[in-house]
Amino acid sequence: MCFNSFFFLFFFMLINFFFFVYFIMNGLSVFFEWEIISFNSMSIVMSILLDWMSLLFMMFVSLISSVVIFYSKSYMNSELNLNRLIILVLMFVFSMVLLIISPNLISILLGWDGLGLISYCLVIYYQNLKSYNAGMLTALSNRIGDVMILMVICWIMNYGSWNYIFYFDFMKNDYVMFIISFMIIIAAMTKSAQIPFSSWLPAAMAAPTPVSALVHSSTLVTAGVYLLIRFNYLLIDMFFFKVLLFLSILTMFMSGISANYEFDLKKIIALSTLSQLGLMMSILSLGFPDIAFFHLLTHAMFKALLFMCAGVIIHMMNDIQDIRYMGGLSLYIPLTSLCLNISNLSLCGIPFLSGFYSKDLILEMVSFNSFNLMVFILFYLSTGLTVFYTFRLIMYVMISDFNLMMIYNLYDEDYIMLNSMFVLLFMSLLSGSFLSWFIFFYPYMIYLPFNLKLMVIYVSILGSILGFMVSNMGIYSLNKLLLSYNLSSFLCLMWFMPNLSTYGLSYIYLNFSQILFKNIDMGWSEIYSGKGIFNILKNYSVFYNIYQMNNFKIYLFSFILWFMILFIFFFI
Amino acid sequence: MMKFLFMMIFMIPLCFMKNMFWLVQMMLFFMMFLFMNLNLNIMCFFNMSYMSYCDIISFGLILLSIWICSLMIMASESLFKLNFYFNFFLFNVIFLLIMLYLTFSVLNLLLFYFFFEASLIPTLLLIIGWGYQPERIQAGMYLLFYTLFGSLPLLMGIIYIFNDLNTMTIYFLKFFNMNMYLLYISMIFAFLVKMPMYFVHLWLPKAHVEAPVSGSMILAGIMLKLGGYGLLRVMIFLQEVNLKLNYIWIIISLVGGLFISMKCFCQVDMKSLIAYSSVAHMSMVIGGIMVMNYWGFIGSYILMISHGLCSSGMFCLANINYERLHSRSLYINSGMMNFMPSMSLWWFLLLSSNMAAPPSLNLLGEISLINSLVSWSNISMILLMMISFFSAGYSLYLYSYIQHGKYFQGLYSFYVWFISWVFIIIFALISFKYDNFKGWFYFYLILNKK
Amino acid sequence: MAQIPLGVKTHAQKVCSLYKRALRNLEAYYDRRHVYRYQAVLLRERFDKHAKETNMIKANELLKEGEEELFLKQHPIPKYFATSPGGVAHERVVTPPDWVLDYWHPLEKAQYPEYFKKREQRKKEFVAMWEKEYGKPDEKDKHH
Repeated sequence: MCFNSFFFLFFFMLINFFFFVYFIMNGLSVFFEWEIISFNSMSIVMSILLDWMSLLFMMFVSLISSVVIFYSKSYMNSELNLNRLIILVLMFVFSMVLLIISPNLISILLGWDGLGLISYCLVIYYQNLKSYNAGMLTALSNRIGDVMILMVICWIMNYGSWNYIFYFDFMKNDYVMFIISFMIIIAAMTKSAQIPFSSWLPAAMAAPTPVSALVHSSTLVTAGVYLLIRFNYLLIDMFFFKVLLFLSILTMFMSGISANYEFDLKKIIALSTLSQLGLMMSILSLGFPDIAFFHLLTHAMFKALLFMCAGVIIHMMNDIQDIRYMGGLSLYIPLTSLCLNISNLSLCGIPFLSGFYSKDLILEMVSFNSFNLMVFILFYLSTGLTVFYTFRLIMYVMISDFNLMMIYNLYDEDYIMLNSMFVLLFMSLLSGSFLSWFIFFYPYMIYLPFNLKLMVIYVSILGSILGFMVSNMGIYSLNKLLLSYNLSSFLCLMWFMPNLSTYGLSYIYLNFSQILFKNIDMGWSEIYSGKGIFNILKNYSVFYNIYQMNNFKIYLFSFILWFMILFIFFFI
Repeated sequence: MMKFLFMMIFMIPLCFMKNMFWLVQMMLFFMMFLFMNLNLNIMCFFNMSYMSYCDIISFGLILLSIWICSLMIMASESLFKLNFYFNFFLFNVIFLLIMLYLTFSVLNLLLFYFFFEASLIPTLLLIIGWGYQPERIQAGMYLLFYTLFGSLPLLMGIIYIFNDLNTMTIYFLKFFNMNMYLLYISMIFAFLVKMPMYFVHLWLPKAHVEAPVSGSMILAGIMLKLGGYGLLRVMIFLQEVNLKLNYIWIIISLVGGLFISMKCFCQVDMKSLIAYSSVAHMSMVIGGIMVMNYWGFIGSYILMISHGLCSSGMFCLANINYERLHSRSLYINSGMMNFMPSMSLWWFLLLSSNMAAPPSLNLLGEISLINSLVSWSNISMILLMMISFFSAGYSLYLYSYIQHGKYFQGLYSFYVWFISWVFIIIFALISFKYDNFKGWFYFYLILNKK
Repeated sequence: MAQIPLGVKTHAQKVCSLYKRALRNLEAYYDRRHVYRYQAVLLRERFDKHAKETNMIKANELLKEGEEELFLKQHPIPKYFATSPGGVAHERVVTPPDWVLDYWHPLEKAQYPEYFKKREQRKKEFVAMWEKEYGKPDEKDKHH
């Protein structure tokens, strides 16, 4: 099963690549349409838009998913129900492809809802309580986005069809577009886990690692960003974009800080994904959709590679994901640590790896255009934080002393996993330059003073030094966390947002539903219908029984009374 | 049309013969196939005779009722195995099917009322005769008296119409305009109780939970839709009053739908949860019919059909669990994926259809309903958002509680083999989606315009 | 409900439990083994200072203060082993119970003939052992 799907997806990737090159070289864009139903002058159509953006994205998605399925042949070897997982992953890829190629809101809804549901099934694949909770959190957070898109479908009916790409230039300042843009932004925010909805992404790490590599690094979370890239022309001068800028910058900053305190390997990588997503959203909301797309693609490559290396390490450590148990592994797993290092350095933006092209371009655009001081500071600070947690991770896992806690199985020679990682390694090295030559027809003209240009390097060096210093632990070193306990707990637990959005909200609703059920359904509704009428009738008949049986004379007298009343009514 | 009536009448002696259980069920499948091949001139009334007719709504609902009756018999094969009065059970089902068929296909409003009431009796007999717990007596009483309480004014209203207009033919009623408040309330109330609106919905959880699987399937599948069908027929001559007063019903049903979705979260009984979710779906259907939009009618019709299939399927699945574990409680029914992994596929498909996930028919219905309700008023957007969100919540709650995690350690043994008839329901659910509805509704609109 | 004591622990048991939890907490803060070892020695010294306390009132007070200090200083991300409760891989795979094997299809059972033969024999032995110990079951308790 694994091999078949791997070959199929790889072949699909090659087809997409070929068409992408052809389409972008000739400036082509193809639009298929199939009318399914039409009532009352609205038609539900299934449309497919193939332009260079969708073909490129499909190529990346199919590449990563083929590599991940190949990887999971060896990673999930001991799993009895592997076929179920592979089928779920294939359905996920199908939903993602449906999302990518659709210029029509109804087909986006098909893909979007499918993504949410299938990622739910994937997260709850393992049967423990953590996965159950994580799955519920993921599904319900994504459901908010689904509901928002349902409402957008309803509002965009005002314009006569659901093909949003035709309406952008005409309807900018309309009231209806205002509401649509608000809801689309919220939907994209739930999918890409920006600040109010950011608790599901670290929790969803309860999924198996290949699933995390595919879903939570490159495809599911980038669906929101892709939607906003498609809707970008609509949203450029709107107010909500500034709100999105604010929230995504905060996300970037918050997750950068939390990743510095986190000790679970997959959660650190999840928080770094969240930080890069914040970066993508913020550069999108500043008005540069193509740079956001560029960063989306390069990020997908090295992040998936990072997750796969993390998977190898977790396998070796006998399912432990805590980096406090690890140390000094680079001597023992040279090939995996090669991949880990390259993807980490790419994430930091070290020159000429793939992440450098996108990240450096983003930061230079931020410096070149005149934006807010806070925007500027938070961007550079988050870049520094990225380098900080990256180097902290490398120090903890690779470079520190060998932390002899238990028996390791330091086995690097699993060639299936290594081959899949090498494919992504190759792409992660080259995709930056490759994409920058393909996507941008002419380079951006950026003219910066010397120090501002080197700001990136200053911040990176500062971050790496801090990363080294923080993770070096000597016998007499004070524990900084203990000294500033309250502040550190706040920063480390993601500013308490997961607790707020789970414990805080669920209690209110469940309590309310219990009150509703007990008081209305089993209380007042019963009294005013069924039970109440029953009691009234029963009490009346008891009363009547007493009245009737006890004094026969009074009962007979009531007959005469009744005749008199009728007489009065009808004859007088 | 007559041929189906006679086919059903002559299946009755077949029920009392020996060993004819599966033959009756096969004949019902066959009848469904024959019915689908009717002269389907989909843009108008067809097959008109002196007493009966068919238009698109009747067609769909009769098809649904035949389908569900045949699946009911398939689901109750345990009655056949345990030899528990299955002859009379078959007779009950066929009698119910005849009554339902006649309800949907007669032209006369009084006859419609007669068969509408008459379909209650076999349902009551099913609940009381083959139900599982002693609470079924109260459930039967609730079912009977709620419906009768609502429908006696309907009888008065029909007779008043006959006195006034001298006709009872549904086809002719669209030319008249009876705009009286009292008439409106008396006609509408029966159907609002039947497809339950929020405050008069109490019979539904009781009846659905205490009924045997066949009773639950037919209740969830068709009996609720009788109310919807009645509303669609009766609205024609009450349009002006409806436009003045419909906001009451829409508000009650939408807010009620929200409350019911929240009540689903604290249910412990599987069937009770599915019953409450039926009420939530039907509340949207009432909203859709009452807004008097074309999209509202379409959406409510599609949602009625898809909800019938989906809820019946879920009751079947709940019964599969009940037959094996003898409990409907969620505390006991957990971790089923370890025993019946294929069953978790069916649970997932039906529950995802319940929460209107693509590519199911429920999604199409809900999109249409949301469109029509939001076009009626912007504020209903908030209520609809919350209803959709909570429906996802409780559907996933039910799915993950039943399938995942550890199983109840007190399980001794378990009959693992199952019949794969639920797949037929799903097949119906998805295949009905995009084939049949193209262009069917044009003429319905034209016919119902004055 | 929460006030029902579920067991009685001696003072020594409570102190040892506090000590173990405090050690695990230290392990969460100081990951490198040699650093942890140093801090653990310091902690042990703190416990040893009051080890020979005979005044039970003071001992209980010290215990209470210790518990409170542990609560206030617990690490926000404690270090769990993967397969223990609270860890990541706890109860990931649920094994179906034993009687599911009896419901396999005969073709599947034929793939492992030795095992199923022995299984039947073991079932008979189990029933014999049960009846020897607890006597024969009543007729009305039989599974219908």
